[in-house]
Amino acid sequence: MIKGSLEEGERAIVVAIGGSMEFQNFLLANGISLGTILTKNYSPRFSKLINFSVSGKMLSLRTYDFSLIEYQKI
Amino acid sequence: MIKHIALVGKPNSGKSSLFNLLTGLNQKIGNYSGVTVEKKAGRFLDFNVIDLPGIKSLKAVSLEEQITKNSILDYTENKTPIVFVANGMQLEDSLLLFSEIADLQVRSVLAINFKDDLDKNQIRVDIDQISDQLGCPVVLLNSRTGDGLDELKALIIKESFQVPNAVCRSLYDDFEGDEVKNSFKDKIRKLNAQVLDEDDFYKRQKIVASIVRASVADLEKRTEFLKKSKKWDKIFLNPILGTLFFLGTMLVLFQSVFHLASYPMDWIDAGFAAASTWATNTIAPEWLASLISDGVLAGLGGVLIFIPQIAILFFLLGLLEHSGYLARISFISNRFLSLFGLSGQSVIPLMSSWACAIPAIMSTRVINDPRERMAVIFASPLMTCSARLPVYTILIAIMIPNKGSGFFNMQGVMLLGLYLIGVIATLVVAYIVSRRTKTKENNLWALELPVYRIPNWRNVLFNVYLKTKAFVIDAGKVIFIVSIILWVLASFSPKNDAFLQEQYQALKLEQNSENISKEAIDLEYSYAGYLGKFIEPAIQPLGYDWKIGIALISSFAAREVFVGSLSTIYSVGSEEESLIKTRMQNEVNTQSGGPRFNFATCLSLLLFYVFALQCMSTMAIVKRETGGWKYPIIQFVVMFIMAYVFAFAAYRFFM
Repeated sequence: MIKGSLEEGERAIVVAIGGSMEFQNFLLANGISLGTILTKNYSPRFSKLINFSVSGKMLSLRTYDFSLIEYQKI
Repeated sequence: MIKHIALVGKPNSGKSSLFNLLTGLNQKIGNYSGVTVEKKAGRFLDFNVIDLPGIKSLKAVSLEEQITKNSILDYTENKTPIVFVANGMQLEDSLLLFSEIADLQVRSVLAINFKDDLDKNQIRVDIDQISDQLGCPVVLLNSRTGDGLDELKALIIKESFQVPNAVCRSLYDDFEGDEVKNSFKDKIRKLNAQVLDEDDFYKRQKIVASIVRASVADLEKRTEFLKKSKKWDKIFLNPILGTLFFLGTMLVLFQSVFHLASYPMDWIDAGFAAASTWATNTIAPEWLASLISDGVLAGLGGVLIFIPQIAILFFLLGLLEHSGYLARISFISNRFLSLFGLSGQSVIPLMSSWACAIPAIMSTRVINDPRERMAVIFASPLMTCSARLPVYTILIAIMIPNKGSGFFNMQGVMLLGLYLIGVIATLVVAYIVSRRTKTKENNLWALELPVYRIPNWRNVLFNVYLKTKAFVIDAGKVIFIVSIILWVLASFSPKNDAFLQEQYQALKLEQNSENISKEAIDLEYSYAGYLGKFIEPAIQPLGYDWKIGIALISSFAAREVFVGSLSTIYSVGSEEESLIKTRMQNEVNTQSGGPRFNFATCLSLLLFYVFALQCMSTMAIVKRETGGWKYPIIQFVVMFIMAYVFAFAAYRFFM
């Protein structure tokens, strides 16, 4: 499945990254690229942020920015 | 000869803790005048250690990261070696950055930090293997306890830095005939956020992953490491529980600033009163005794008394930061701040403004969106900085009697209220500025939530020491000079003694009292008195007299001078060496016969100081960060108008 909704605790592999080149470069600097595995953490909808674990760290992105990352659940 | 070394690493890699361990008390206090505040410097034996801001990649995005990138590029020219601090629990991430520095061929030592976390989670790092693969010395370190520090110090002393093996440098080889030119450095120099170099990144990622696989065993165990923090996040990031916890934390913080600090403050105040009495009784000639007692001691005492409060504020903010909770405040406040055109990334600069607006304004460099950055720069001086604390404390203590049960009392609630007014004003002004600023949007933001940790007391207390020292030195210098100038202005008069005697006798007859102080007449006809009376018509609508006017003028450059100035003025005009608060409480309004510092006047003064931008250093830093005088001048005028209007309204309403 590409770009589905990820529930808390579920893992996914990044298969594509949309958005501008600037945004893609920004994600690279934060360790997110094709093939990166991420796990969704507790992210209350109210906060408008998506919280996830990647490479041993916990990161939050704006909901809109996170929606530009396409992933496949694993 | 002094040699230089730099500490480089990603944000939250423990660089600053290592810097503190290496340099101890030999650190320069940031003077905010140049770039030294971003690059902390300290001494370790013959080495000048430079602590650079954290950087995620040499494809730097934020202004702060650009500073680090440019410094690293300079090190390739002047051969300055670096200690690269890697987060052991995020080794691939750290090594990706290290691989870029390796390709710049900077002499390095790699310090893998958070050894305690690696040990606790049974993740084993083969130091020899990783050192062989990278081609430079590697040490395992715990910068919180100092474990592994001796090995690192030995490497530094022996200058065992080595140029690491290149990782992707060959991708940038250009062949010109028989010559090979490498363009990596030039590419890095020109790189900005718009450039994407996927080939480089994927090759780098692959090589780093293979190094980590070969050198680190049981890395998958770090998932367990994050588990505990994830559990706590269900409470602290919860919109209701998290917000309630945040508000509760703030209430406890401000109550502590007032309640816990009151005892040492009383001791310091009493100590200065005793020293003043001693100076008056023992020092000769009389004018020197007066200068020391009424000028220097009164002025300095007026500021040094606030050390306990400032230390407690920094201590508690340090606990929040070191525990990892501060980043959670960014998370839960994101939605709320978006209503005002800001985001969660503005929270830390704004909360830093509670300590001082200067580092806070500089820390806005981490905000990528220029519109949001400008709004925070413009509004953050409205947050209550530590320099306002002395003014608030003395006025609250006069206007609200210390009644209440135990830890909680009305004085603490009032202080919290003033901080809240500052926050509301900041948000409203930020909203207006963010709506009006026309800049190209660059709205990228990723918030890293560090794991929760028990704060390292050594680091927290060390930070309290440095910040308090900076406050005392910065404020103390200004106050010392202002106190002496004020003493001169308040002790000398353009009128002769006969005139002053005549006025004194006339007032005694008029008031039909022998209890009129001659010193009060001397002060009224002194240079300071004339100055205060000159501005009195402008400040009278706010409930202030000429004496308060003198203190207002003297605190124009730095607001913390206000209390010291009042203390000097009332010392000169008084024969007794009582406490500052008592002197102010005894001051009489000559028109109404009531106390000069009544509820309406105190509230008016408090609101004036909530809004007024009386800090030259802040204006200078805003000028530097915005590239001109336009913003600081607009900022000063707007905040002065707000201060005047609110102070006027409060006085008229409560008089």
